[in-house]
Parts: sequence; C-alpha cells; structure tokens
Amino acid sequence: MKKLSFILFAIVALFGVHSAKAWNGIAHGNIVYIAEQHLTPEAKEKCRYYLRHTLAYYASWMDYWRPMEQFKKVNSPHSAMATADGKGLLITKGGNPKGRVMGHLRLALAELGDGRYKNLPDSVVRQRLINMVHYVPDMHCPSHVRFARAKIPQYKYSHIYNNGEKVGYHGFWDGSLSRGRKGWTNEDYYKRLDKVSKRQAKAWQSGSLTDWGRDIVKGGHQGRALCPKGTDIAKMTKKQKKEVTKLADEMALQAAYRLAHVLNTIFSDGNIPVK
Amino acid sequence: MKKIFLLLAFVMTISVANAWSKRVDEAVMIVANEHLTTSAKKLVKKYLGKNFADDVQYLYAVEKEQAKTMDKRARRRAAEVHYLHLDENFQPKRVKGKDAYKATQEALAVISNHKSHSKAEVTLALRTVINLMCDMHNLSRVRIDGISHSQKDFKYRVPEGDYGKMAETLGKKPIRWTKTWNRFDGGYGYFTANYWAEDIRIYLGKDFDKYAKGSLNEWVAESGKMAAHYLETYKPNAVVPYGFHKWREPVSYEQMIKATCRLAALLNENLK
Repeated sequence: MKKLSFILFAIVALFGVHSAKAWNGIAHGNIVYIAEQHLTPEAKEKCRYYLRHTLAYYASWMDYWRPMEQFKKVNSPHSAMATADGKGLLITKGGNPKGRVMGHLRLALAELGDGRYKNLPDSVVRQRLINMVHYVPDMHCPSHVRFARAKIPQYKYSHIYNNGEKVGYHGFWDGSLSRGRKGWTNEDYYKRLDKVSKRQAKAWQSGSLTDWGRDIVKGGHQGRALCPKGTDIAKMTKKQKKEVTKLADEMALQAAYRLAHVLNTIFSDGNIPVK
Repeated sequence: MKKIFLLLAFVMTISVANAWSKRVDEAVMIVANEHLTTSAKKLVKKYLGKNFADDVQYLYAVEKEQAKTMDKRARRRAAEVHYLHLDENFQPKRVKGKDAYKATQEALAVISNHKSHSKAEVTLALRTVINLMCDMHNLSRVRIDGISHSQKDFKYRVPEGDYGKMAETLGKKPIRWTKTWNRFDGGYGYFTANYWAEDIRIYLGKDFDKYAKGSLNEWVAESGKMAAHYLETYKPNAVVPYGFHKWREPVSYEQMIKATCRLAALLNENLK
C-alpha cells in the first residue's frame, strides 16, 4: 500500500512539474515591462547591452524552450518550494531542484552579484538575465508556491471547478492577471496597475531572499484560501473575484519591483543577502 | 498618369493576405522614419501626415473592407502583389499582373518623381512601398521556381504526445509554412508598436549601414535564398520539434530589421 501511494505521489509530482507554466505569457511580459520602468539608467543600459533586446522580449523565453529535451531536466526553476512548516521558501545552495527557483536565484546572484558579472563571458550573463526575468515573476505566482501537502492536508487538491467542470487550480492563477483585461497593452498594465507608493516599493524590495520567501509563501496561502478545495469559480461572488484580482495584481507588482531591484543591485555591483 | 494611380489604388486596396502584424509594420515605419534625411522626413510628413505610422494601420482596414466584395479567385489574384516571384537564380521573374517587386518599382518611380504627381498618388505610392518592403522580407511571401510552387503543402507537425500537453494540440493540427513566418510576434500580442520600435532600436544599435546597403534586386535575392534554405531543409509534412516557430524567430526578427533599414534607404534615395 505504501509502495502504491509512493508511486501515485511520484506520478502526481511528475505531472505537476511538466504542466506547470506559471503566469501566462501576457502576465510575464507585463510584469517584466513594469520592472523595466523601474530600472536605473545604468542597469537598463547593461541589460540592453547583454540582451540586445528589451527585457520583456525575453519574459517568456524559458517557457517557450522548456519542452525541449535539453531543458526538461531544469524545469524546476519555474516554481518555489515552501519549507515544511509552510512559512518560508526553501533556498538551497546552487541549482538543487529541492530549492527550485530560489536556489537558482541564489546561484545567479552568487555568480553575478558584487560586480562578479564582469568576470563572466557576455553569453553567460545574457543567459542568467534571461533566466531571472522569467523565474522571479514565476515564483510570485500564487499557484507556483508548492507546499508539502502531506503536512497541510487541506491543500491536497489540484483542481477547482468552473460551472461544475474540472479546471486546474494552477491554470486559474496563471491567468489571473490578464483575466477580464482583454486588449490591454503593456502600457495599459503599467499605467493602470502600477500605483505603488515609494514606501511600499521599498518595503517589498528590502530584506533578504528569505524575507521575500516569507512574503511569497503568504501569497501562496492566500491563493489557497481564496480558492479552497471544491471552489466553483463560476459561483464566485463579485467580492471574491475582486480579491482574486487584487492578490494577482499585488503579487505581480511585487515580482516587478523585486526583479527591478535584483537587476539594479547586480549592475551597481551589489548583492542581495540570502538571510 | 491616371493609369498609374488606378493601378496603385488597385494594388493597395484589394490585398487580403495576412502579413506581419500591424504593430510590427508600424514599428518598422516608426524606426525607418528616424533614419530618414531631413528632406525625406519633411516629405513623408507632407504626404503621410504627422502620424505617418498610423497610415499603415489604416491600409489594413481598407484592404479588409475591399475583400468583402470580392470572390475567392479575385482575392487570390489581388493578393499576388504581396508575393515575390523569383526564378531559380533568385532573380525577379516576369509575371502576369503584379508582384511585390514590380509594384514596388512602380511606386518608387512615382516617389522619385513626386513633384509631377498629385499628393494622392504619392501618398499611395509611399504606402505601397512601406507595405511591400515588409512583405518582401517576410519569407512566407517568396515564391521560387522549382521549390515552392505550392507552399500550402508545406505543413509541419510536432511529434504527438512528445512534449506534454501543449504539443498534443499542435501535433494534431499541422503548422503551416506561412503561419510560422507571419506570426512571429504572436507571443507578444500586448506589445504596442512603440515598444516594438524600442526593441528594434536596441537590436539595430549603430548597424544601420550594415543592413541598408545593397539594391532592391540584391535584397530580393537575399530573401529568396533564405526562403529556399528553409523550404529545402523542412520538406512538406516534416516532423518538427515543439516550439519550431520560436526557432525561426531570430530569422524573422533580422528580416524585420532589414526591412526597417532598407525602407529608410529607399525613401532617402527616392524622396528628394
């Protein structure tokens, strides 16, 4: 029985990894576009030098290439793993899959931070930038915080409902930023959503990766609380829908401001502490 | 004179073929305008107005309207103007009616002699050149003798079930040759033309001269060689990997940059 449970768990876990796609392309592009508006002139110039494109051009690069054989093994940076107590995110050293996106971010910061990016070939810096513009937003998607479900049994579901039909909990949050905003351009998202005060921005950006992890996990819990097991999204009240959008907007803005902070820090020869 | 005007009007108002998105064409014109000489810039403003890039968008709307009143055959014939017809040596072929090369040459003749034409004629000629320069650099618009007589057969498929859920749908539905080149900006639907323009500026840097050199015939041949390369590499019904259109994106992107620079070069040369 134990063996069977393990096999079933392994299948579910494996399926989870491959189906995870985080924010949809629209959300990714717009989060990165907002981040771009908060880069220092120096960081913007450096990013453009390495990428030869705008940042948002590469926002979904990692999603486009992930089904390719050589990238399948590194699918883990698309989500973040909560600690066993569900209060923070695991941050392993290097690219250990257990640490998922936070481990990768730590690795990238170790490689590029404190002015070390200057010692690396341009192609390596470019690839790290392409990775970061994708997975910093990814880890802020409420459905991309993975909990140890064995310890939090009420999170043991991957489907909710839409008019009685099963829909993925994951996909619901992936599309939450662009839902109901058909036709919005990158400029619309920036002008209409980004009304963050300087104080708030500072609060989001300050601290260590561990502090950010705590914030992100809170978003993950809120996501589960807003869509508990058996939720039918067609039956959600206006208030509930508003709360979903509010959470998506807040997490997306957190991602944008933190991504800008990461890049500004790297290109001003600084670093972000892990703890 | 009247004949030329009517011909250009015909050419520009009945095309129905899909091309790069409006935003991309607009962005091409926005950046091309930045590389014009002062006199050419003044003349563009005179003929196309202050919002010169909006005219590109306007043109698509007109074409769409016109297409509604045509039968399938007439639409197909009219759309030929958006295609390049090349021989085995990638040189422009003599064709019945108009193809992109011929129509561009005629429009350039009007532009270079703009003082002796009416404002409406020159405006139309400018719109023709803007539109067709983009088309000529779109590899799905190239027809080469002996290789791509029927590009509609060039459909590709993704191995079914090989790349998870996303590819399953693609595996069942073949990817068409034209679509992979036309919609290269498909993943960036939320980008405005101005943002595309910004992206082009970054990519282009100081390489304007590198892309703008050459003549119309050389550019046409270059597009032909590139299209032939892909048509010969991926035969009809080839099994291609998931994300195939993304593999081609850098090629399409370069073509867009070339279109931008060459449009500016042509206008600088002819609009004096």
